[in-house]
Amino acid sequence: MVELKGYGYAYPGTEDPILRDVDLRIGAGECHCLTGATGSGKTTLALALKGLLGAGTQTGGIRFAAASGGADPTVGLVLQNPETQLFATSVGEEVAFALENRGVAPEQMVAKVRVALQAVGLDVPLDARVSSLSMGQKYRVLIASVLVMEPGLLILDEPAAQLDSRGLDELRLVLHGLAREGTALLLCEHRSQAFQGLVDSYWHLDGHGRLQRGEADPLTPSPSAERAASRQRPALARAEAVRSESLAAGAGFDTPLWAGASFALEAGQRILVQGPNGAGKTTLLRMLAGLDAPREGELRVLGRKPSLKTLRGRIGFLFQNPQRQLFEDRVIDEVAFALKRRGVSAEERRARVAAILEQCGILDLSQRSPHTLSFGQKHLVALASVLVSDPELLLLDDPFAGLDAHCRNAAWRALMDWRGHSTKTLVWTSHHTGDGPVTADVLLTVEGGRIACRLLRK
Amino acid sequence: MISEKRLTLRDSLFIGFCAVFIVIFRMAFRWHLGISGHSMFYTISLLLLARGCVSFPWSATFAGALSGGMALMLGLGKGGPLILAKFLFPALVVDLAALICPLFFGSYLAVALVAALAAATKFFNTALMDWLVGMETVMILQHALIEAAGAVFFGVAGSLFVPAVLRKLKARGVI
Amino acid sequence: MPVGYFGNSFRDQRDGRSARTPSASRLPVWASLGLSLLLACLAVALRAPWTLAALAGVNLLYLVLCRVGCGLLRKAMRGLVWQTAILLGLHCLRFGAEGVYPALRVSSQLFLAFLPGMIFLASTGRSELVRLASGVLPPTGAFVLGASLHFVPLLVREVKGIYHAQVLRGARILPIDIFKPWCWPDWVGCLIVPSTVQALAMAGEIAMAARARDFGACRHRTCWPGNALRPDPEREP
Repeated sequence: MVELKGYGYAYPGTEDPILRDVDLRIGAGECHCLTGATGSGKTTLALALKGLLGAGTQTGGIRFAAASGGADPTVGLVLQNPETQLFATSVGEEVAFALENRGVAPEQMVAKVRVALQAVGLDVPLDARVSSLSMGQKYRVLIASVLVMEPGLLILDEPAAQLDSRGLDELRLVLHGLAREGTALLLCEHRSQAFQGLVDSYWHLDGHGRLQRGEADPLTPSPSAERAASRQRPALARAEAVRSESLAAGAGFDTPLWAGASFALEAGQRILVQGPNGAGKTTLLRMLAGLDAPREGELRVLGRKPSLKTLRGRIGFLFQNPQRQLFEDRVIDEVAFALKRRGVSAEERRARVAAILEQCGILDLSQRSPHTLSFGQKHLVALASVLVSDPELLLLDDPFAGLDAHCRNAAWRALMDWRGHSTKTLVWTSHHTGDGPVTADVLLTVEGGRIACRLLRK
Repeated sequence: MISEKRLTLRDSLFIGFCAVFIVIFRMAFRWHLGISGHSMFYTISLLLLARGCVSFPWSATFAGALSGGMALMLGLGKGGPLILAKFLFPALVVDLAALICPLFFGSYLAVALVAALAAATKFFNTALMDWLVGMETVMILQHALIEAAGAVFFGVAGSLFVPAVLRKLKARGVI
Repeated sequence: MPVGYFGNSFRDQRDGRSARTPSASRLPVWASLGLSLLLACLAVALRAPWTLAALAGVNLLYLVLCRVGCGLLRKAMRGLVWQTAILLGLHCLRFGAEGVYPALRVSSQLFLAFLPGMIFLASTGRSELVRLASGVLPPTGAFVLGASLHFVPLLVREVKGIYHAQVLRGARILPIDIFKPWCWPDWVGCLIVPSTVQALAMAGEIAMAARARDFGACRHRTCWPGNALRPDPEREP
């Protein structure tokens, strides 16, 4: 279907190629999985196959086997962020976007759209609102919107990052079906174990742009992080960090997102908030931070009704995509910002920033601009900038999204080192079961409009 | 910021965002408190950002045209189709200034001057509207001057953060 | 792949909007736009209470003709309450007790000026808007208009996220801080710059996604038939 021979690419203005001498062959009906650290060139390779790379230095070549009729087979590409790929209000309009771009007559569009939706097993009306679908369904709409172009090769960039377990199951079935029908698949994915059983070949891009044979990442956590976690299980304090009574979320909407949540969290506990996409995990975190008001019920955080004013300085919140908040010119200034605003002396600031950078394993980056760092490094800088003010309650919204195994472990080590034997409370969300090497003390499961609280260890 | 003349899709979309925000702010801040020209605060700043972040020579005009078209569709402002001129005239001034002196974005004084000129075009819009409704010439001049003075004040105020923003964006390599 | 293999349910949205896009309006798009413009202009021109009441009635009729659900009206009323409160406060500060009537009148006029536009946008699908715009704009311009309108809510959410993250870190960008000139560098550095970067990044992602689906491959883009499909012949009896 497609062959890359000695392919290399360097972005404009850079001397170091991001891809070097890549040799790769993908046949019809085959499924290949491309792994590698963030910034190793997976997305670049996907864009190269789709022909979307701009001006830059290319070496080697990409050759497509002629499809029937002699035309080059089309390449379909679904990028990483689904939200910026959903252009339309209705499902039919969304799937037909590529047909519109190709000038297909409107009267021919409906049949093609139906075929594409059938291929992904999505039986919803063509005028269904895209926004009313689950994330898994939206992702299938995206695949359908690419299948409508009848691609010979389908490339998915980080498909598992956005999907919960159910969404992943649905996606695996779709991909099995497509592979059986002869569509070649290329998955660019950190979480390669998510597609075991489907993938024919694993490939790995090392940090220097070279492609090698690879294998699926093991599901078990790295031993060092696990040992760190088990070593640092402190005696739990009795003070209460969070108390909720009949809490409901969804103020201003017709129906609550979830309701009847009553639980108490003690200071010093590690709390994992789990649930499928759209269940309301982030909403819970935002309510704990005082950013969203409850629809009904009572909520006390650190002994008070939560609001920005009362909790500022006492809680830390690492939002999704935390790198978007970086604004200073040096890492050291970025991390020191919160301390500066609190009036901490320059000397104490220097010491605390150095300590936290050391904990996060990025002390050597202190003088660099955060905007020149890799995705994972930016993530660690954002984490350091939150940890440095030593909050009593730390909230992390999907803290590992998009991180490779190395950065994930670095982040967890930093969190455990920071937490130590203290009474700091840690709350994090995940839509992947078994995510992260650290075991939680309390599990809050958000699903089906309810929140269930389970104590895992005392 | 200076040499690239092609309008890419990414740049068009950014200009589109600027245009939509001009309209949204216009909708949100129409409080009829008799404070002339306050809409120029965000209009001028967004037009300057559109031109400063995108290297296409007519990006401010594109933003002005889009926002004018949207305002027309949503029925904002008096004077029907004349609302297009409210957005286009200041936008044209910004683009012409950038053509004549591309480096003006680096100077607070130069940006303030361009903002003042762009905001001052409100004089012509107001005068035209007053003439159409049959006002006396002296009254037209007085009214248009007052409106323009308010517009210049707010336009200059809205422009003052733009050089700092553009400098930081350039330092990051984003533009 | 068998159709309906997976859970294919989808639910009405929590804000009251139907899970289905609006039915075909009883009005053609050009007529709807014209009426929306006329009603908005009248809201600005009319001042007497009885005329505003009559105009409100006409707007309700427009809402019904466009087959827009009551969810939109409920959402708009929430905005009206806030707007009225703010305007009352500001007018009373400026004009004292005499400011009450003007505040209420202005608030109703503003509401009636925005409502037709909201009804028009809610009842007009993106493809219809783009089709309408394509009549006067080139294909890229029409797409940019449609995409900008479509993605601005996402951008606003991103900016809000940046704002909250920075406030929690201690940035001096609370509403009261706008009146303190020594806090202005935080507004620029902590909010405006990252928000502009985010807007540029999002524009880049959207452009890449559009090109990945062959946007720009053909000079003459066609349009999805859209609401002309209703009722969906293969789903409804």
